[in-house]
Amino acid sequence: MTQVAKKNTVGMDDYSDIEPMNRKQASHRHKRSVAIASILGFLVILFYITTITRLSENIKKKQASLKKASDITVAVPAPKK
Amino acid sequence: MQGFVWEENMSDIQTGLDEVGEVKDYIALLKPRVMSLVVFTALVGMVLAPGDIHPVFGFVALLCIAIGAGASGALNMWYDADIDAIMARTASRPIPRGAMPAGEALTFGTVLSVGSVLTLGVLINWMAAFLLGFTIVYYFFFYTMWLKRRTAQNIVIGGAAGAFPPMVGWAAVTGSVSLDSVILFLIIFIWTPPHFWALALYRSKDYERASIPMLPVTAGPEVTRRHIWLYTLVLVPTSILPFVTGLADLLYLVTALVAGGAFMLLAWRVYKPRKNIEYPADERQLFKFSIFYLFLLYAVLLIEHMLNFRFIWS
Repeated sequence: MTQVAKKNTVGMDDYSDIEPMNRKQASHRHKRSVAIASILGFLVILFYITTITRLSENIKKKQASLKKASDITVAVPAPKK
Repeated sequence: MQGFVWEENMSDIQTGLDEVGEVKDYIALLKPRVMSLVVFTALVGMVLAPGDIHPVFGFVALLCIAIGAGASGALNMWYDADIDAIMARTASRPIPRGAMPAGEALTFGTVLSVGSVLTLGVLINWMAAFLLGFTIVYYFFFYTMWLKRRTAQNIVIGGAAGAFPPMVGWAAVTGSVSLDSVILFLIIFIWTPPHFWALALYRSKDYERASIPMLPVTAGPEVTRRHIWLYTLVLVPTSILPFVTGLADLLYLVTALVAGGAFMLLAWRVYKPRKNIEYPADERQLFKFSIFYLFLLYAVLLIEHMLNFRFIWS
Protein backbone atom coordinates (compact mmCIF):
# COMPACT_ATOMS: atom_id res chain seq x y z
CA MET A 1 0.00 0.00 0.00
CA THR A 2 1.37 3.40 -0.93
CA GLN A 3 1.88 5.76 1.94
CA VAL A 4 1.75 9.51 1.59
CA ALA A 5 4.54 11.03 3.63
CA LYS A 6 5.02 14.65 4.62
CA LYS A 7 7.99 16.47 3.21
CA ASN A 8 10.95 16.30 5.55
CA THR A 9 12.53 19.72 5.82
CA VAL A 10 15.03 19.00 8.55
CA GLY A 11 18.50 20.19 7.55
CA MET A 12 17.26 22.06 4.48
CA ASP A 13 17.90 25.78 3.80
CA ASP A 14 15.27 28.26 4.93
CA TYR A 15 13.50 29.97 2.05
CA SER A 16 10.70 31.43 4.13
CA ASP A 17 11.63 34.99 3.14
CA ILE A 18 10.98 34.30 -0.56
CA GLU A 19 7.52 35.00 -1.94
CA PRO A 20 5.77 31.93 -3.36
CA MET A 21 4.84 32.05 -7.04
CA ASN A 22 1.19 32.83 -7.64
CA ARG A 23 -0.96 31.38 -10.39
CA LYS A 24 -0.42 34.28 -12.76
CA GLN A 25 3.35 34.09 -12.44
CA ALA A 26 3.26 30.33 -12.84
CA SER A 27 1.14 30.74 -15.97
CA HIS A 28 3.51 33.32 -17.46
CA ARG A 29 6.45 31.14 -16.58
CA HIS A 30 4.82 28.18 -18.30
CA LYS A 31 4.00 30.19 -21.41
CA ARG A 32 7.55 31.46 -21.57
CA SER A 33 8.91 27.95 -21.26
CA VAL A 34 6.64 26.79 -24.07
CA ALA A 35 7.77 29.75 -26.24
CA ILE A 36 11.46 29.02 -25.60
CA ALA A 37 10.98 25.32 -26.35
CA SER A 38 9.09 26.15 -29.55
CA ILE A 39 11.80 28.52 -30.72
CA LEU A 40 14.52 25.96 -30.03
CA GLY A 41 12.55 23.33 -31.90
CA PHE A 42 12.08 25.72 -34.81
CA LEU A 43 15.84 26.39 -34.83
CA VAL A 44 16.56 22.67 -34.99
CA ILE A 45 14.20 22.28 -37.94
CA LEU A 46 15.66 25.36 -39.61
CA PHE A 47 19.21 24.02 -39.35
CA TYR A 48 18.05 20.63 -40.61
CA ILE A 49 16.26 22.06 -43.66
CA THR A 50 19.11 24.42 -44.48
CA THR A 51 21.68 21.63 -44.23
CA ILE A 52 19.64 19.36 -46.49
CA THR A 53 19.23 22.19 -48.99
CA ARG A 54 22.94 22.96 -49.00
CA LEU A 55 23.84 19.29 -49.39
CA SER A 56 21.45 18.88 -52.31
CA GLU A 57 22.90 21.96 -53.97
CA ASN A 58 26.42 20.61 -53.56
CA ILE A 59 25.36 17.27 -55.02
CA LYS A 60 23.81 18.96 -58.03
CA LYS A 61 26.93 21.07 -58.57
CA LYS A 62 29.08 17.95 -58.35
CA GLN A 63 26.88 16.12 -60.84
CA ALA A 64 26.98 19.10 -63.19
CA SER A 65 30.79 19.30 -63.04
CA LEU A 66 31.12 15.53 -63.62
CA LYS A 67 28.81 15.73 -66.62
CA LYS A 68 30.80 18.64 -67.98
CA ALA A 69 34.05 16.69 -67.55
CA SER A 70 32.63 13.63 -69.34
CA ASP A 71 31.31 15.81 -72.17
CA ILE A 72 34.76 17.29 -72.68
CA THR A 73 36.26 13.78 -72.75
CA VAL A 74 33.79 12.71 -75.43
CA ALA A 75 34.41 15.85 -77.49
CA VAL A 76 38.19 15.30 -77.84
CA PRO A 77 38.85 14.13 -81.43
CA ALA A 78 40.90 11.00 -82.08
CA PRO A 79 44.53 11.72 -83.12
CA LYS A 80 45.34 11.38 -86.84
CA LYS A 81 47.61 8.53 -87.88
CA MET B 1 7.00 -3.38 -1.29
CA GLN B 2 5.43 -0.23 0.03
CA GLY B 3 6.39 3.03 -1.69
CA PHE B 4 6.26 6.60 -0.59
CA VAL B 5 4.85 9.56 -2.54
CA TRP B 6 6.00 12.99 -1.46
CA GLU B 7 3.05 15.30 -1.08
CA GLU B 8 3.80 18.67 -2.58
CA ASN B 9 1.58 21.66 -2.92
CA MET B 10 2.28 24.18 -5.70
CA SER B 11 1.85 27.07 -3.31
CA ASP B 12 4.60 25.66 -1.11
CA ILE B 13 7.16 25.84 -3.90
CA GLN B 14 9.33 28.76 -2.98
CA THR B 15 11.24 29.88 -5.98
CA GLY B 16 11.91 33.57 -5.46
CA LEU B 17 11.04 34.23 -9.10
CA ASP B 18 10.34 37.75 -10.27
CA GLU B 19 7.38 38.63 -12.40
CA VAL B 20 7.97 37.64 -16.04
CA GLY B 21 6.31 39.37 -18.94
CA GLU B 22 3.73 37.98 -21.28
CA VAL B 23 4.61 36.87 -24.80
CA LYS B 24 3.20 40.11 -26.24
CA ASP B 25 5.59 42.09 -24.05
CA TYR B 26 8.55 40.21 -25.49
CA ILE B 27 7.24 40.90 -28.97
CA ALA B 28 6.93 44.60 -28.07
CA LEU B 29 10.60 44.57 -27.01
CA LEU B 30 11.51 43.74 -30.60
CA LYS B 31 9.96 47.00 -31.91
CA PRO B 32 7.97 45.23 -34.64
CA ARG B 33 7.33 48.33 -36.74
CA VAL B 34 11.01 49.19 -36.97
CA MET B 35 11.77 45.52 -37.58
CA SER B 36 9.37 45.40 -40.56
CA LEU B 37 11.09 48.34 -42.25
CA VAL B 38 14.48 46.75 -41.60
CA VAL B 39 13.34 43.45 -43.12
CA PHE B 40 11.90 45.22 -46.14
CA THR B 41 15.07 47.18 -46.87
CA ALA B 42 17.16 44.05 -46.34
CA LEU B 43 14.94 42.17 -48.78
CA VAL B 44 15.47 44.88 -51.39
CA GLY B 45 19.23 44.66 -50.85
CA MET B 46 19.00 40.91 -51.33
CA VAL B 47 16.95 41.19 -54.52
CA LEU B 48 19.15 43.89 -56.06
CA ALA B 49 22.37 42.02 -55.37
CA PRO B 50 23.87 40.32 -58.42
CA GLY B 51 23.45 36.58 -58.32
CA ASP B 52 20.90 34.17 -57.01
CA ILE B 53 20.01 32.79 -53.64
CA HIS B 54 18.00 29.73 -52.79
CA PRO B 55 14.66 30.76 -51.24
CA VAL B 56 15.42 28.74 -48.10
CA PHE B 57 18.68 30.63 -47.60
CA GLY B 58 16.94 33.89 -48.44
CA PHE B 59 14.31 33.22 -45.81
CA VAL B 60 16.95 32.28 -43.23
CA ALA B 61 18.93 35.44 -43.96
CA LEU B 62 15.86 37.65 -43.64
CA LEU B 63 14.85 35.89 -40.43
CA CYS B 64 18.29 36.42 -38.89
CA ILE B 65 18.29 40.07 -39.94
CA ALA B 66 14.81 40.54 -38.46
CA ILE B 67 15.80 38.88 -35.18
CA GLY B 68 19.03 40.87 -35.04
CA ALA B 69 17.12 44.10 -35.56
CA GLY B 70 14.64 43.11 -32.88
CA ALA B 71 17.46 42.24 -30.51
CA SER B 72 18.88 45.74 -30.98
CA GLY B 73 15.49 47.13 -30.03
CA ALA B 74 15.33 45.00 -26.89
CA LEU B 75 18.80 46.07 -25.80
CA ASN B 76 17.88 49.68 -26.48
CA MET B 77 14.76 49.34 -24.34
CA TRP B 78 16.82 47.82 -21.54
CA TYR B 79 19.32 50.65 -21.51
CA ASP B 80 16.82 53.46 -22.04
CA ALA B 81 14.23 52.21 -19.52
CA ASP B 82 14.87 55.24 -17.32
CA ILE B 83 14.21 57.84 -20.02
CA ASP B 84 11.43 55.77 -21.61
CA ALA B 85 9.53 56.11 -18.34
CA ILE B 86 9.73 59.90 -18.56
CA MET B 87 8.70 60.32 -22.20
CA ALA B 88 5.01 60.09 -23.11
CA ARG B 89 5.82 58.38 -26.44
CA THR B 90 7.66 55.52 -24.75
CA ALA B 91 6.06 55.24 -21.31
CA SER B 92 3.88 52.34 -22.43
CA ARG B 93 6.86 50.12 -23.30
CA PRO B 94 7.11 46.87 -21.31
CA ILE B 95 9.85 47.91 -18.86
CA PRO B 96 8.59 51.37 -17.87
CA ARG B 97 5.11 49.89 -17.60
CA GLY B 98 6.43 47.31 -15.13
CA ALA B 99 5.43 44.35 -17.30
CA MET B 100 8.85 42.75 -16.87
CA PRO B 101 12.10 43.41 -15.04
CA ALA B 102 14.80 45.17 -17.03
CA GLY B 103 17.12 42.19 -16.77
CA GLU B 104 14.69 40.12 -18.84
CA ALA B 105 15.08 42.53 -21.76
CA LEU B 106 18.87 42.44 -21.45
CA THR B 107 18.96 38.65 -21.46
CA PHE B 108 16.43 38.45 -24.27
CA GLY B 109 18.29 40.98 -26.41
CA THR B 110 21.70 39.43 -25.79
CA VAL B 111 20.58 35.89 -26.58
CA LEU B 112 18.83 36.99 -29.76
CA SER B 113 21.80 39.11 -30.87
CA VAL B 114 24.34 36.34 -30.45
CA GLY B 115 21.97 33.72 -31.85
CA SER B 116 21.02 35.67 -34.96
CA VAL B 117 24.61 36.58 -35.83
CA LEU B 118 25.90 33.04 -35.31
CA THR B 119 23.01 31.49 -37.24
CA LEU B 120 23.53 33.90 -40.13
CA GLY B 121 27.24 33.12 -40.17
CA VAL B 122 26.89 29.36 -40.01
CA LEU B 123 24.00 29.00 -42.44
CA ILE B 124 24.65 31.84 -44.92
CA ASN B 125 28.05 33.53 -44.84
CA TRP B 126 30.28 35.32 -42.37
CA MET B 127 30.38 38.64 -44.20
CA ALA B 128 26.63 39.06 -43.74
CA ALA B 129 27.00 37.89 -40.13
CA PHE B 130 29.79 40.40 -39.53
CA LEU B 131 27.69 43.24 -40.93
CA LEU B 132 24.70 42.21 -38.82
CA GLY B 133 26.86 41.97 -35.71
CA PHE B 134 28.42 45.32 -36.49
CA THR B 135 24.96 46.84 -36.91
CA ILE B 136 23.84 45.56 -33.51
CA VAL B 137 27.03 46.70 -31.78
CA TYR B 138 26.88 50.07 -33.53
CA TYR B 139 23.26 50.67 -32.57
CA PHE B 140 23.64 49.56 -28.97
CA PHE B 141 27.08 50.77 -27.96
CA PHE B 142 27.62 53.72 -30.29
CA TYR B 143 24.12 55.17 -30.49
CA THR B 144 22.21 54.01 -27.43
CA MET B 145 24.92 53.98 -24.80
CA TRP B 146 27.21 56.73 -26.09
CA LEU B 147 25.80 59.23 -28.59
CA LYS B 148 22.12 59.46 -27.71
CA ARG B 149 22.59 61.20 -24.36
CA ARG B 150 25.68 63.19 -25.29
CA THR B 151 25.36 65.00 -28.59
CA ALA B 152 22.79 66.64 -30.82
CA GLN B 153 24.36 64.77 -33.74
CA ASN B 154 23.27 61.48 -32.17
CA ILE B 155 20.76 60.68 -34.86
CA VAL B 156 23.09 61.69 -37.71
CA ILE B 157 25.87 59.32 -36.66
CA GLY B 158 23.76 56.72 -34.91
CA GLY B 159 21.27 56.59 -37.75
CA ALA B 160 23.81 54.61 -39.75
CA ALA B 161 22.66 51.56 -37.84
CA GLY B 162 19.31 51.71 -39.60
CA ALA B 163 21.04 52.02 -42.97
CA PHE B 164 23.02 48.79 -42.77
CA PRO B 165 20.24 46.22 -43.40
CA PRO B 166 20.26 46.53 -47.22
CA MET B 167 24.02 45.94 -47.10
CA VAL B 168 23.46 42.86 -44.94
CA GLY B 169 20.89 41.55 -47.42
CA TRP B 170 23.29 42.25 -50.29
CA ALA B 171 26.13 40.47 -48.50
CA ALA B 172 23.89 37.47 -47.85
CA VAL B 173 23.74 36.92 -51.62
CA THR B 174 27.20 38.00 -52.76
CA GLY B 175 29.31 37.52 -49.64
CA SER B 176 30.70 41.03 -50.10
CA VAL B 177 29.83 44.71 -50.22
CA SER B 178 29.90 46.92 -53.30
CA LEU B 179 29.37 50.51 -54.39
CA ASP B 180 25.72 49.78 -55.11
CA SER B 181 25.10 48.41 -51.63
CA VAL B 182 26.82 51.46 -50.18
CA ILE B 183 24.44 53.65 -52.22
CA LEU B 184 21.49 51.82 -50.70
CA PHE B 185 23.07 52.51 -47.31
CA LEU B 186 23.57 56.20 -48.16
CA ILE B 187 19.92 56.79 -49.07
CA ILE B 188 18.74 55.65 -45.65
CA PHE B 189 21.65 57.35 -43.90
CA ILE B 190 20.79 60.77 -45.38
CA TRP B 191 17.06 60.16 -44.91
CA THR B 192 17.34 59.41 -41.18
CA PRO B 193 18.09 62.93 -39.80
CA PRO B 194 15.17 64.79 -41.47
CA HIS B 195 12.89 61.87 -40.57
CA PHE B 196 13.80 61.86 -36.89
CA TRP B 197 14.14 65.61 -36.50
CA ALA B 198 10.60 66.06 -37.82
CA LEU B 199 9.49 63.77 -34.99
CA ALA B 200 11.77 65.49 -32.49
CA LEU B 201 10.31 68.89 -33.39
CA TYR B 202 6.84 68.04 -32.22
CA ARG B 203 8.09 65.86 -29.36
CA SER B 204 10.73 68.30 -28.18
CA LYS B 205 9.14 68.74 -24.75
CA ASP B 206 9.38 64.99 -24.19
CA TYR B 207 13.06 64.92 -25.11
CA GLU B 208 13.73 67.98 -22.98
CA ARG B 209 12.08 66.34 -19.97
CA ALA B 210 14.24 63.26 -20.46
CA SER B 211 17.38 65.40 -20.97
CA ILE B 212 18.12 63.92 -24.37
CA PRO B 213 20.12 66.39 -26.45
CA MET B 214 18.08 66.18 -29.63
CA LEU B 215 18.66 69.10 -31.97
CA PRO B 216 15.38 70.94 -31.19
CA VAL B 217 16.31 70.83 -27.49
CA THR B 218 19.93 71.97 -27.82
CA ALA B 219 19.78 74.32 -30.79
CA GLY B 220 16.12 75.24 -30.97
CA PRO B 221 13.38 74.67 -33.56
CA GLU B 222 14.67 77.23 -36.09
CA VAL B 223 18.07 75.57 -36.46
CA THR B 224 16.39 72.16 -36.64
CA ARG B 225 14.06 73.26 -39.42
CA ARG B 226 17.01 74.61 -41.39
CA HIS B 227 18.90 71.35 -40.92
CA ILE B 228 15.86 69.35 -42.10
CA TRP B 229 15.73 71.49 -45.23
CA LEU B 230 19.47 71.13 -45.90
CA TYR B 231 19.44 67.38 -45.45
CA THR B 232 16.47 67.15 -47.81
CA LEU B 233 18.47 69.01 -50.45
CA VAL B 234 21.16 66.34 -50.11
CA LEU B 235 18.69 63.46 -49.93
CA VAL B 236 17.03 64.04 -53.29
CA PRO B 237 20.22 63.83 -55.42
CA THR B 238 21.40 60.89 -53.30
CA SER B 239 18.18 59.07 -54.07
CA ILE B 240 18.95 59.36 -57.79
CA LEU B 241 22.32 57.63 -57.49
CA PRO B 242 20.89 54.13 -58.14
CA PHE B 243 19.84 55.34 -61.58
CA VAL B 244 23.25 56.93 -62.20
CA THR B 245 25.12 53.72 -61.42
CA GLY B 246 22.73 51.55 -63.39
CA LEU B 247 21.30 49.82 -60.36
CA ALA B 248 17.83 51.22 -61.16
CA ASP B 249 15.91 52.19 -64.25
CA LEU B 250 13.65 54.93 -65.53
CA LEU B 251 10.68 54.06 -63.36
CA TYR B 252 12.79 54.51 -60.26
CA LEU B 253 14.22 57.80 -61.55
CA VAL B 254 10.75 59.24 -62.11
CA THR B 255 9.57 58.00 -58.71
CA ALA B 256 12.61 59.39 -56.94
CA LEU B 257 12.17 62.78 -58.58
CA VAL B 258 8.44 63.04 -57.90
CA ALA B 259 8.66 61.76 -54.34
CA GLY B 260 11.76 63.85 -53.76
CA GLY B 261 9.88 66.91 -54.94
CA ALA B 262 7.09 66.19 -52.50
CA PHE B 263 9.63 65.66 -49.72
CA MET B 264 11.22 69.01 -50.53
CA LEU B 265 7.85 70.74 -50.50
CA LEU B 266 6.97 69.34 -47.07
CA ALA B 267 10.46 70.10 -45.75
CA TRP B 268 10.10 73.67 -47.04
CA ARG B 269 6.80 74.00 -45.19
CA VAL B 270 8.55 72.90 -42.01
CA TYR B 271 11.43 75.31 -42.69
CA LYS B 272 9.15 78.24 -43.46
CA PRO B 273 5.99 77.42 -41.48
CA ARG B 274 2.73 78.63 -42.96
CA LYS B 275 1.06 81.15 -40.70
CA ASN B 276 -2.45 79.76 -41.02
CA ILE B 277 -1.45 76.19 -40.21
CA GLU B 278 -1.53 75.07 -36.60
CA TYR B 279 1.75 73.78 -35.21
CA PRO B 280 2.80 70.93 -35.36
CA ALA B 281 0.78 69.83 -38.41
CA ASP B 282 3.64 70.31 -40.90
CA GLU B 283 6.13 68.38 -38.76
CA ARG B 284 3.73 65.46 -38.36
CA GLN B 285 2.98 65.46 -42.07
CA LEU B 286 6.67 65.42 -42.95
CA PHE B 287 7.36 62.62 -40.47
CA LYS B 288 4.57 60.44 -41.84
CA PHE B 289 5.49 61.19 -45.44
CA SER B 290 9.15 60.37 -44.81
CA ILE B 291 8.18 56.82 -43.87
CA PHE B 292 6.08 56.47 -47.01
CA TYR B 293 8.90 58.04 -49.08
CA LEU B 294 11.50 55.47 -48.07
CA PHE B 295 9.07 52.62 -48.50
CA LEU B 296 8.10 53.90 -51.97
CA LEU B 297 11.70 54.24 -53.19
CA TYR B 298 12.64 50.77 -52.04
CA ALA B 299 9.38 49.27 -53.34
CA VAL B 300 10.03 50.66 -56.81
CA LEU B 301 13.60 49.35 -56.70
CA LEU B 302 12.17 45.96 -55.83
CA ILE B 303 9.53 46.02 -58.56
CA GLU B 304 12.04 47.06 -61.19
CA HIS B 305 14.40 44.25 -60.33
CA MET B 306 11.86 41.48 -59.79
CA LEU B 307 12.20 40.30 -63.36
CA ASN B 308 15.96 40.00 -63.01
CA PHE B 309 15.84 38.16 -59.69
CA ARG B 310 15.71 34.39 -59.98
CA PHE B 311 15.13 31.97 -57.19
CA ILE B 312 16.97 28.71 -57.71
CA TRP B 313 14.37 26.10 -56.96
CA SER B 314 16.33 23.19 -58.37
